[in-house]
Amino acid sequence: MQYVNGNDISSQSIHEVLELAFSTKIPWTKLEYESSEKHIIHSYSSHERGIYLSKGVAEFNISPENMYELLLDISSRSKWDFHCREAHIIEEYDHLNHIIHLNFTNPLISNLDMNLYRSCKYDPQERLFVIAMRSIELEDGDVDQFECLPNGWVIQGLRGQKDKCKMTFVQQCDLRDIELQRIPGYKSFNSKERLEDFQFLTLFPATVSGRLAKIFESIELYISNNVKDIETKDIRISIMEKAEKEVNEMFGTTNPDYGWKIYLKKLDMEILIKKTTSGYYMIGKGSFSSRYSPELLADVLYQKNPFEWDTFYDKTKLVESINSSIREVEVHYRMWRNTITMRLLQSVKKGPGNFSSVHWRSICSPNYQVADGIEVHYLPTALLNYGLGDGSFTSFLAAIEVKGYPTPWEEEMVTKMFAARIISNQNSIINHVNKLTGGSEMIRELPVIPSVQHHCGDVGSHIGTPQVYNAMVENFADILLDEGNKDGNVVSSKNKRKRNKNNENKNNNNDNIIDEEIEQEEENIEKDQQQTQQQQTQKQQQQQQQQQKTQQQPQQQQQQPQEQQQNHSQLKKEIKPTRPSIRFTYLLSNSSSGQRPIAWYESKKQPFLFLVSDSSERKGKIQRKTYYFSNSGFDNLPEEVVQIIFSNLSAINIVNLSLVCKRFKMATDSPILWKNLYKSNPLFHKKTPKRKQIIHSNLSNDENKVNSNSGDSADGSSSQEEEEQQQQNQQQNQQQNQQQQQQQTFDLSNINLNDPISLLMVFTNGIIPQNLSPTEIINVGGIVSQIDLNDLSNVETLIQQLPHQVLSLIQMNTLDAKIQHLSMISGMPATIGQESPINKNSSDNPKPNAYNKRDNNSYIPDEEFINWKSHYTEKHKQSKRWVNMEPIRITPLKGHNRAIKAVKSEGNSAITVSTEKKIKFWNLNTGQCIGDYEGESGVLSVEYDHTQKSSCIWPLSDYTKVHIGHKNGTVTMVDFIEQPIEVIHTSRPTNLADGFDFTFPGKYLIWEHTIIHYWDVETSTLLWNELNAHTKKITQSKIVAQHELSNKGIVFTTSSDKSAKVWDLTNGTCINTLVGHSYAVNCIEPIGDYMALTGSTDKTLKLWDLRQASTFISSYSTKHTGPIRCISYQEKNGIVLSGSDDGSIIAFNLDNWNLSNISVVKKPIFNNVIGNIGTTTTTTTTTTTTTTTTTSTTNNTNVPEIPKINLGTFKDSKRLHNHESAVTCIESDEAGFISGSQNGLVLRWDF
Amino acid sequence: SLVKLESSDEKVFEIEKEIACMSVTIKNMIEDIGESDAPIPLPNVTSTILEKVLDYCRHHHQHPSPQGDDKKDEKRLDDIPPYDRDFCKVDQPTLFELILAANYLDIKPLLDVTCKTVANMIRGKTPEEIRKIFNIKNDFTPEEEEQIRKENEWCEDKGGN
Repeated sequence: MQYVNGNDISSQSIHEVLELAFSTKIPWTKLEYESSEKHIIHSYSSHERGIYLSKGVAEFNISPENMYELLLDISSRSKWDFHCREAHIIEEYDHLNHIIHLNFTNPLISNLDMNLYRSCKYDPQERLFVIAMRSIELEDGDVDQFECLPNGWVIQGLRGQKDKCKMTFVQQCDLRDIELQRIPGYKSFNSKERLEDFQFLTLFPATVSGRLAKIFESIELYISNNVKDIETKDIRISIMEKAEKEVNEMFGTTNPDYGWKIYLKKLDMEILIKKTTSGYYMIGKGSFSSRYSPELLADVLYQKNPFEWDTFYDKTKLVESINSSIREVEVHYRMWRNTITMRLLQSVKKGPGNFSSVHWRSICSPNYQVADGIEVHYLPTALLNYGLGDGSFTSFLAAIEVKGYPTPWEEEMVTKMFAARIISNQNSIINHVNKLTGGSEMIRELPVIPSVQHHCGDVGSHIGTPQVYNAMVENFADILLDEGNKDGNVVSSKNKRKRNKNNENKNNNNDNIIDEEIEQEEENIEKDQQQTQQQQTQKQQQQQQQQQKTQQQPQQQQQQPQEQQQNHSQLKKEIKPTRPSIRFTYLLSNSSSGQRPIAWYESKKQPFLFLVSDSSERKGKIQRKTYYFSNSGFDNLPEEVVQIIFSNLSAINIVNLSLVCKRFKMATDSPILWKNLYKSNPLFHKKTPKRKQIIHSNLSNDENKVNSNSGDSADGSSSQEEEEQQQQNQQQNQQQNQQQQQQQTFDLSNINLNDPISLLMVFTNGIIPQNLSPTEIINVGGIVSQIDLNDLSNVETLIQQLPHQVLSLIQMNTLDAKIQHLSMISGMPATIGQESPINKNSSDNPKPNAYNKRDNNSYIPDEEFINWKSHYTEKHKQSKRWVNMEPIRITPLKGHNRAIKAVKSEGNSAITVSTEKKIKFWNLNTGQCIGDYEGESGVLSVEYDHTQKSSCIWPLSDYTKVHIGHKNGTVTMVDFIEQPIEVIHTSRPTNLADGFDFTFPGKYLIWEHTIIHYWDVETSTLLWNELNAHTKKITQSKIVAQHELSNKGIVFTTSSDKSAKVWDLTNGTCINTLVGHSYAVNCIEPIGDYMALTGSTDKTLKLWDLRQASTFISSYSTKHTGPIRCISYQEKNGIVLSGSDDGSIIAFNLDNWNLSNISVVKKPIFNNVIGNIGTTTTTTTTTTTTTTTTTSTTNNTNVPEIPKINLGTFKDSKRLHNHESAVTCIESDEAGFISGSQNGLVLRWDF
Repeated sequence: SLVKLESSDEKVFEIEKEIACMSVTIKNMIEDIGESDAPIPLPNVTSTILEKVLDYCRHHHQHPSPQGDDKKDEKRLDDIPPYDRDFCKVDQPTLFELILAANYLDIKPLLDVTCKTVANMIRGKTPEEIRKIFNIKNDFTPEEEEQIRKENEWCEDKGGN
């Protein structure tokens, strides 16, 4: 179960209806029996998908606008639908979203009630209208056995024919509902009858009479009889009427009831803000007075060039004058980062009396995005001018909705811009009137804020520039608010003074307070009191009226107090010659009085939220959210306060809260809550020793370049701050990488290539374009469905035809790669199966899927699309699995028969090498072998070439070139994406080798017995060598690039002579010798920047500080019963894995690392704690624990005084025994690890 | 200077402007109307609650807490200073009224501390206990409850903290 915003449900329903109506992919069957000349009926049923669809198309002699009005007006449904007894709106959210109730009756079903969630969308320009409906459960237990999946009408205008429209009616239904005879009215059918018999039946109560055609016939009949009665009316007119009503309600909005808070308040301007689960609303209110009459102001504001007066509009264009007082305009409005293009409806009203108003609201906006993932929508906005003698008083209100989760800084920017606009409004209007009339109203010339793009160029590329812009906006606001503004005539409220508040009369049920601002010097209190009394009586009357009329005639109601107020002010004007200014503020009375303005109380209280069940039984079923109010203190708490309380609690408590009641369940699903929990959970951000980010591309470059990169942090000591800074740097790097990664490795394996939207997502890196108008959706669908997967040559041309907001999501420079990519996967069988769109949406959230993302960089999905709760849960589960060593899956990679020598993995691919000379390449997603290569002599080492990405975009890994080192000294490089695998390059720097390291391409580190060479391939020169690196055989050698100890890098060698050594990669000088193990050292792994962990035949692991390596800092006796052969450290999870000849793998969790201590402490103690011993391990291990804590004393070198500082603990977990043979190598990543053993078994462990 | 505040039950309190301005709402109102002898009406706050709120403000005005503390977002039980902890030792209806008042008056430290107190009442409790403490009705059907339980399984064996 999850809570979903009503807007999301709306767009999904509409999208589904449009897809059903226009998709060319549905193999419709025309139903001859049903169809007639006038209407064509199709159907389609699929057992696989369990769905039955039907579609009817017909033309009508009525304009699409009128058809839309007719269908929208639900109360008139019974006029044309003979089976509809009654229909009405239960809940109205806005002019597009309602919950409606329908009651049907016919001979088959005596009585049927349904509640539907209805969502509408239209594009007046294209004359396209969509009404989508789906059933909704209003109360608990109100279980309708039968459920309407999204169904609805699509009405299109016909080109050149004003009074004709084409209507498509689509419906869909779960086959199960038919089979189980849940459909009302079909109970009489025998279940033995085959499905085909149902073909000519329609499934929805609208047409329960049996034939889909009937609904068309009845509409047709109604229209032919009543067409003259149907007034031809532009839909936009009613939108504007509703907008005017809405904005008048908003004037009455104030804090703090209903969650509005004052965000900013300067002089006469105030910005109110209200947070919702998906963003926030802002209302800006302000007022000013001027010498111009209301009529003149209205003319100026509604002149030929719309919004010319507004300094924030880049360009505007008149689209159409609908009638003399309403028009549609297109504006490019500057808002912080981007210019938003939107369509606005604007209306003007003059009178009654000395009054004028201009209203506007956005209708469909091609581009709302202000910045990544932040959208701004214009809600109804108004400017009201009240005449005052020879001047007027103007009160204005603008409202916007911001969607997305902006960062606090982004939020500040958007709000500031909004505020700056509100402030500048008065000046820019007056300024403009001056210009036009040559008027004398003095006004300071204001700076114009350029759009950020004009000012700073492309913002995305410079992180610094918005600050500059920020400062500009700030500056702008300051200029406007400058108190030192000496110009007496400046239109500002500077010379407005004291306001006398007439507060509400608590005993009376008055809800509205009229505040006045009056001149400073004067104010005869007695007079005022008289006025107050007058007002109060008027108010009471007015209020009664209001209560009666709230819903029907809000406009009139609004005007009454205005007129009344005008009288007032005129009265005052007689007393004082100076211009007074008056402000209306309707304050809502306190909640205890029990009286609230009905309009606000009933609607708009919350963004509509609905419960969506995701049980398999009823996918996507929606329920209206209802709370039960008990007698609890929580009842009266606003949602945001509940959020504050919950934000103090940890995940376990939040989880408990979700079981308390529905309201809490909803509150605990808040993404912000989980985002904070995620970000503050120390388990997810373990302080483990980490290496600085290595830039692979640098590896191939000159040494100098490599050096310059690590120069800044080469300082040996690392304070806490530095550590943090490094982490920050890392995060930045990771984010960059992640962006790149997203571009290139958008997971295609789950893409349904038959679905246009999924296909489109291939090009948009998985981003679904939002807020497309219906026509655009159709266009996009049409264009994308033309993509022929067998011939991709035309893709580029098709892509170019996409609407610009879709196009903007596609990066043209990667297009070729994408096409190539597509051609590669199009051979794969496309996944079939229609998911419920709600679920589809949620699965689009990039969940940290163990299988998809396996990279050293943590995968941080684009925040906008994160389902933080599931993100948290997944992460929690994963870290728990790691700690307890409980892999969710163990996949054997089968193919080798002899001992595994080496394992390497990259992305979702892996390479394994065995002593039988064979190299195998693996797809880790499937566990399949995707390539074989047989070396010419025994293969010892392999490594991916990280310097160049593969020539193809391959979903499994970015790198497909591999270096292979052979026993006979030959090094070959192959590209395993080529089939058959071909050798790119071969060289033979030496005649015999025991192992290679290929960290630096073109430069090979080779070891053989006691010798190490460092070899430059290109020049065939030996850079340095060390013939007697160790006194006994070298067991392992490894380059660590860009290390603290040497800018370029260091070389580790481990040897049977019980020691390990550290060498400078530049010249081969020995930096350190690590002595302490009592038997051969077999393996070494760098831990963080200056530590290393060694594993030995003596069954211990030892931790070394490489800067002070005369002795180890910690030693650990493992539970291994044989020599330790291999170690792998996963710094992200803080887990060390060790493999041993005894066939077991043990994981050690590094906990509570206090890294800052390491730099200070010369020889910290080791602190070994055994915990969480797996069920399979024997209890004898506890005895080892006690011995380990004293291990350091067994070391025979001098142990100086050790300050007692807790460096952190190694906590081992249960042993994994699956190999049943000596473990020879381990390669780990964040999501799991791969291990190989002596018997040729390779296992992939996923957590 | 002094300002007058009028509670919903028409009691007038006189208090230093500086203290009253700890409430952002009152601060805005004062800025809005300028210096005035007329009491500022606070229709959402009763006199008992207002008195408590003013006590709180007075105390914190006299004993300003060291700055910068708010930056630490460590949410711990013991980060409620002793005065505040005692201040919040009130019956539940009063506590909730204080929250509402703090929210309405926009006194962030008071809102934080009262919310923390409620959070502490919730911490470590089972759903049933929480319902009992706050007198909340369980409005889930058994099926829904089962479903949420399933949804929450991931968290189960983690010790309560």
